[in-house]
Amino acid sequence: MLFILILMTCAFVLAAAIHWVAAIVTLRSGTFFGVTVTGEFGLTPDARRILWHYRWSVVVTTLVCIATMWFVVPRLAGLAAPLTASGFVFLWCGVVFVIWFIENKKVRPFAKPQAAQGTTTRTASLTPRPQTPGGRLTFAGPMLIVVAMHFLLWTRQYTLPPETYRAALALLVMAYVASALFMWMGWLILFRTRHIYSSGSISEQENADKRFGYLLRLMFAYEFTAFMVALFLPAARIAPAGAAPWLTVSAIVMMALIMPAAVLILIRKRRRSPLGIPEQGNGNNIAAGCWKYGFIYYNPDDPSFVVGTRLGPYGCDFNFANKWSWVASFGLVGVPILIRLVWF
Amino acid sequence: MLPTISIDLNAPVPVYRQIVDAMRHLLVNGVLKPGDQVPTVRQLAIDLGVHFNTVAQAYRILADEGWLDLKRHRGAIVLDRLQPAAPGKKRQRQSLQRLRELIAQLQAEGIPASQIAGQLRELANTLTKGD
Repeated sequence: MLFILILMTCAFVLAAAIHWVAAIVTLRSGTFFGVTVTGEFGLTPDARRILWHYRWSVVVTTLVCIATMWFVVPRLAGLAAPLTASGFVFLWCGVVFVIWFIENKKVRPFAKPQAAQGTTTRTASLTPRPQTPGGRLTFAGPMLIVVAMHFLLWTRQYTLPPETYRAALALLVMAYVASALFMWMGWLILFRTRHIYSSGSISEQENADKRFGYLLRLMFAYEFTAFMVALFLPAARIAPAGAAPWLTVSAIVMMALIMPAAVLILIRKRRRSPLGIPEQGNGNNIAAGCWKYGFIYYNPDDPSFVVGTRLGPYGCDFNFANKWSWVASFGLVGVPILIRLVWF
Repeated sequence: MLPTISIDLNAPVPVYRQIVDAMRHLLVNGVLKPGDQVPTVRQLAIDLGVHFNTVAQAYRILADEGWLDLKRHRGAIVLDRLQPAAPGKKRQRQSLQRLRELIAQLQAEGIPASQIAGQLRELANTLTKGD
């Protein structure tokens, strides 16, 4: 249990650090907490105050969550302990969402006036885009690693106690599901989000950004798989038990190095990218009125399942007016819970 | 020039018809040449923000007219369409009737007759230059 608590504390700290930086990095130029504002708004004292409040609220929430988790979880026994520890993740996410809503509400009075419904004209390029994600077979890497580890485990199946085998297999299943989800999100960004710009260099930039969004997910998939394999090797007794802390620490250090590197690349790319929020009048812009709280997209007139995210050019958001978005959302939350409940 | 098409979701003309008309215009004027590949139904539907069936219907109409060769999952390829034989008297009467109906529709929308006449003259000049 101590190991899980340390791991979760690291995850909370990492998540808070990402939010500290991401509040600036992932925002498109021209938006602030999902609200369309003037380009200079980010430099005003009001913006700094709102940003400061958001960052510190997330930090305080994280500290309270960690402290409560360390106080409550060791006092619980049986299944209640891991379930409560997992519950803190959902609690943290919920509170951070609420903080975001509050900051979004504070920014709304500074919003740049624009039409709530957008325009009704749409323009599309008739030049076909590549049908493959690029990077050749690298997309299969995380899955192949998991399959190779599964093969190793299978060869030792009869030498391991059933509980150990089951626990090691659970780690591989989690790696497999997480990789599949990351790759699915990358594929959606690349092939299922609407292109705002239909021609010119800005359209090429948009293509490049979507490709980068895919590669970012691929990198996360590799990183998560490596982390789970580091936990799996000692759990399946493939690596000696003494190597377990070293492998875990190496995986965490690798994450801690890769994450800031990804953030630095994002900062550099964002400075170079001319893409901001498309101005009204560009036919394919998505109506500002369709974004609830600045990041939840709801547009019954749009048959799209996903659209490019409002917060940055490297992601996608579900259209919650489409029933499949609800199915996917419940799947994203439900599958990890199901694995946790069924397996442990 | 990179070919693009535009549609208006609020226009009285159905969206599939707008797509057919816009693509036919590009095909007739040689912007889309034989052998060119056009996007898959799904890609175009996503970019235009319309249902896949709407684009599929437009592609089917163009394929029936002999402009496109539809390939599953690979988009469509522009065909080298043979020039149809000159229309008979009946077909000529029909096309004239369609033009009259279109002019009546434009007049009903408030466009002055002189403006329509000027635009028709301009189009006629472009057509004869093309010959």
